[in-house]
Amino acid sequence: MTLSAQPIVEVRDVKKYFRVPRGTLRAVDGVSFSIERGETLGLVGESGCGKSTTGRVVLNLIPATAGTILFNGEDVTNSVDRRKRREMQIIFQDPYSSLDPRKTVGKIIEEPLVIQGIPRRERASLVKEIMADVGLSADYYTRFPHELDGGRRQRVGIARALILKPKFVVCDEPVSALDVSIQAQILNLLQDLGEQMGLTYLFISHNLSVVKHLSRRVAVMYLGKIVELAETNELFKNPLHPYTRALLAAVPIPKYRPGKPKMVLSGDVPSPIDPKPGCRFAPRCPEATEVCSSEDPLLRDAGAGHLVSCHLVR
Amino acid sequence: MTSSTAISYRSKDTELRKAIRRFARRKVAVIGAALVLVFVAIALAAPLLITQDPNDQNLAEILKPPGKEHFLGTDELGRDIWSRVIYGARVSLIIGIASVLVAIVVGVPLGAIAGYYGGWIDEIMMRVLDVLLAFPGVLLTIVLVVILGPSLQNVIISVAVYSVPGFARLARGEALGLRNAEFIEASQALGAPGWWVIATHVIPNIISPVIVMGTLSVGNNILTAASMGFLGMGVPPDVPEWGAMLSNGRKYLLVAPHAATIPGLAILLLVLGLNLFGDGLRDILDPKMRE
Repeated sequence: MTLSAQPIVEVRDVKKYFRVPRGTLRAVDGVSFSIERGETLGLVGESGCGKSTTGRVVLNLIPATAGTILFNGEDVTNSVDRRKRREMQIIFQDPYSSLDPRKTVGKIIEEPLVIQGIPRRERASLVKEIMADVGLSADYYTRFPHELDGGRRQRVGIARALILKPKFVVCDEPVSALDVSIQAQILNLLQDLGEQMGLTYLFISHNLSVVKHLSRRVAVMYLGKIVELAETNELFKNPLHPYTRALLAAVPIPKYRPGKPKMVLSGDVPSPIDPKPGCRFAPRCPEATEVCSSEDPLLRDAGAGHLVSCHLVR
Repeated sequence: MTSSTAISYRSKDTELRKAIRRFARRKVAVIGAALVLVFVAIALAAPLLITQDPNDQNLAEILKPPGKEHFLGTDELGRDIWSRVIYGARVSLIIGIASVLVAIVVGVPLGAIAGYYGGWIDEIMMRVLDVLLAFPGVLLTIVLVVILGPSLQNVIISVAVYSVPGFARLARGEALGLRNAEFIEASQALGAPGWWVIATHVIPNIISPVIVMGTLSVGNNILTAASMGFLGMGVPPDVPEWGAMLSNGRKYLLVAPHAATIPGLAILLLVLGLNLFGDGLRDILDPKMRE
């Protein structure tokens, strides 16, 4: 399948500000990206950088402060049309808090069908079908979530998200709450189902290896802004932004290679409340110059679709 | 795999059995439950237990002490106190349970709506309830009974009105804690309307503390209704209501102490039982209270 010219999701200069007692928290501050049909876009960054908020704003789980979100070329910013919800779904991080403890697995997976008004007689077979697809035995139908282990719970969450056959799914750290031994199973399941059902993923994670495994392109976020966006291989081979380089250097490598100095960041992430002008990364950047703390760098194409927002990249 | 065998038991009844076992370990709670059960049994079997019509007057035999003919003696109109106390159990339990049910049906959805939506809806609803709470409880119920007129139904309504704010506040607090839960967000992501989320996710998840508070409120509401009866503002005088019986007997406390003591003891035992039972329920239903 060739990728169609029109992206399925287009996010243009989206902002999400929260008013807090100490000022304005700029959780997402002018983020733009587009995702083509059938591709997986990875969104990485450390905790608190606004990646989960971005995912929720795209789905309109929380309203955007500014900006536009297009789905299939249609403006869906802050619209709550129930039919469009069928096409866009989310898989949550914590399979413990994302399932209603009072409902059986069958009822949880069936809920989307009830909400969307699918007739009762069709529901049972659809639920059984999707349970088989995500690798849950039919025995679990009458079980409660607390009887399942983390991996199976996450399969229930995936079944609930996919039963309506959506086109676009936001995966919000879907494996980071799971045991390492189960992570690979769930990632492979997501990948297989993605191919079978022709899904488009926005895959949010703080784990670079997970994102590398799944994504065609990767966006790196820092303090509410995308600092770099490129094809996965290009980004990992040729990171241009100092923050991306620091992130990659922080990935543990199984082989010990002496002599290669690691780039270690010092200091903490500055507060996203009323940030100072200039590059958000400047206070921690080892290569920062004068211009960095006065002028906000723009996200520019550094060649062949490799976008980076840094004054030092020419 | 071991994990699949470990979870292959039927959990619903084991959960229930576990809860019953936890409850049974608390002797005081079991005593409370037994007291409540005894009163419920008395109320249900009242027509079989009485020795004469509770409203039959015999002016030749007023204020008789407990004896052979009148098991617990007679009151100032010669009515059999045993029969009246038995029927009083019915009246009190009906008032207590019905008023709590009405208060739950009204208060819990209101509180859940306020807590789930927050913002100005919450603000308006809670201020209105604050006004209700600002009145002393008994005063509020008396005013309502005076407006509505004295009847069993109106006593139930006015006691219910007075307990609505408590349930609404409880439900609001719990809903506030739930509104950011991911399973609520999941439902919203599916396009579920607010009423659906409240009815299928919020309310089922706050029902445990509501049951606990409901049990404790039954006792409290019985006391309130009895206080109103004592003040002569409750049910009509022919209804054998414990509070009214206590009040009538009080005038003859020196000559016939049993006339006031027996209905008083009945109130004490039933309310005590309900409170002990409610505390036990809280211990097993509220995970935050578990040691």
